[in-house]
Amino acid sequence: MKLLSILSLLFVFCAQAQTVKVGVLAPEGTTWAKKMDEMAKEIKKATDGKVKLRFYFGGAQGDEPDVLRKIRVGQLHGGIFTGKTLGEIAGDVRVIELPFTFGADREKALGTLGKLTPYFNTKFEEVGFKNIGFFELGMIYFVSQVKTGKLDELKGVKIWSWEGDKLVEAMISELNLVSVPLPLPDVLSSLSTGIIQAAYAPPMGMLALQWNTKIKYIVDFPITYSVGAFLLDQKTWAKIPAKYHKTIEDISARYVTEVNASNDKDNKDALTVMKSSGIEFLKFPEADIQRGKELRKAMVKKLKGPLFSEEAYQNLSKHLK
Amino acid sequence: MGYARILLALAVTLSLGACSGVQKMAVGTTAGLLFDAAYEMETEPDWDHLKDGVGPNLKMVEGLYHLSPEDDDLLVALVKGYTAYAFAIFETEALAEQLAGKNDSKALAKAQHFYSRAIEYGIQYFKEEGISWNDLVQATRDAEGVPGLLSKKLPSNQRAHEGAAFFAQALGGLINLKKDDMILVAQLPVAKGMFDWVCTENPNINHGACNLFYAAYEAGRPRMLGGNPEKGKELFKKAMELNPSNWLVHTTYLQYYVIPMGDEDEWAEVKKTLNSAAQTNAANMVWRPGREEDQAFSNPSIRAFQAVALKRWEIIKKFENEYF
Repeated sequence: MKLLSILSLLFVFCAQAQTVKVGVLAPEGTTWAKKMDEMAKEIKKATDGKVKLRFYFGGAQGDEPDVLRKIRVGQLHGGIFTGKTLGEIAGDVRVIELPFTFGADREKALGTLGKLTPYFNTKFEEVGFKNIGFFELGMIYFVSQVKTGKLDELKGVKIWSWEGDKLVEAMISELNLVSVPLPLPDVLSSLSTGIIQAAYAPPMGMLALQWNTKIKYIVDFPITYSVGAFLLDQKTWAKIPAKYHKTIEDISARYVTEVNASNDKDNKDALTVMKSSGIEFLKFPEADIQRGKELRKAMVKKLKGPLFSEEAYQNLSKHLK
Repeated sequence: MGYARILLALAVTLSLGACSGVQKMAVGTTAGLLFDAAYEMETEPDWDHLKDGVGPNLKMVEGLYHLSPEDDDLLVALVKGYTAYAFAIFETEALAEQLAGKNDSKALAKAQHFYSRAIEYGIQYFKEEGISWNDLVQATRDAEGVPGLLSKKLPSNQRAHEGAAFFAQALGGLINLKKDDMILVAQLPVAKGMFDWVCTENPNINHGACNLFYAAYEAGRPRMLGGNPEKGKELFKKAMELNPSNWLVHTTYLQYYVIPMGDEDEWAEVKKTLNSAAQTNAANMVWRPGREEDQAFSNPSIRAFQAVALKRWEIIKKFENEYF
């Protein structure tokens, strides 16, 4: 009798719907948020209401570090993370963001990310996360108030840096820039007051942050490629009945592809807007593209160990061939 | 003078006047009256009645504008009217459809359409004052910004303040509804710059519109994207304190801060205020001899704001169980 009660309790527990709470920075109403909502509805339907994704958009659960902390204490079950925070979770992932790797070749970057994803996923699993999918933030461009069309002209330019981001620190040091660590929301006002003269971001990020009103130049050659990942706490993933795992993965993969296509369009639109508003696009000389490869080697030397492993770098190199 | 009398006088004048010269003269003398009469709309306490009334009146003003396209009073009345129509009626209906999870919202499309029309009239009004759209965009990159440009080109009077404020609201409103369009999102500094000018010139315009705009502007974006939700909350609190009877501040606070942030304590507090407001309003809508008027209705020009707020509250509270 006692055993039966326990079994029936277990049955009730298993049959209960699993609500997965996810913190996201993208504001409500953006394509990203709309697609995530559609994905949640489709997953709910496909799992007969047993898996409900609840997104908290627009930083309602705080910035990325807050979301990560809340996942670790069990208040949230997942989040979408980028750059520095992603590196803090699994540093190996950031090899994909090594400067001067892909140039302006988005397709190559996206293809390489696809090939490296199984490797990255094992790295996430090792630290307790299930990767639902990689999002493409896009190519990162260098923008400034001073004309910096050549690598030599960058020397001494005061550039914003994300405090504690090893990858950015290595890049700034190799390019002889002057690093000015600031919180991201302060970049706009610091461009106005002259505290900084330059910054970097994907084009859609520049528009969202209104940097387009303060900058005069954009180097028409992306420095690097940038990604985000939708991570779920492994324990939460394990609680979802295994029979739904593939369904969720398939649905998510479709929406991730749609978001990536939309982000690519948004980045292209953003570049068009900036061009039409009078921001000058500076051509990056061929000689500097070659020099960029040398600088990249020096950055790898600095970052191998402190940020990513030899294995991660070798994997990247293998898939670039 | 009420709308009806003006309309009657205008209809008679236009039907009698055979030549366009007479018509233009009639429009010219009536336009100023219409501009002033538009304030009557702000006193309407019934949302459904407001919904039925605004559209036909706007078509009539649009007809007059067709006869007298250089008339700034008519242009500003159209900017103001279409912005109010999109915001008060269609954004309210779209909210109901959005909360019900309807993807294909007709009201949302209408709101976007009428905001766009207000923007087009706003661009035309600015053009009459010597400011092109391109000037506005370029000004966002200048040291003095959009406020500097508007100070040079626009007079400092009620018409110019309202023209710029409603143009800015229409632009901000459209961007807010189309956050998936980067080309539109890029125009946000233009809307912000126009508000900055209006709110310096006339900080009390439109019963707390400045505080409301800045509060929603800060609360509507996460810190990492340049917003400041906590500052937004403070501004909302200040706006509620300064305009306690403009319940639109309360519902906007719910929409832009309390619900997205999942702040249950604030929800409980605002819920109490709005439930009480709805009760007081219902009692005030029915005439009774010797009825004492509540302090909340002492300013007739915020009755339409109250009507929109209570309609939105009616919609928002239906979905209470889904917010927290």
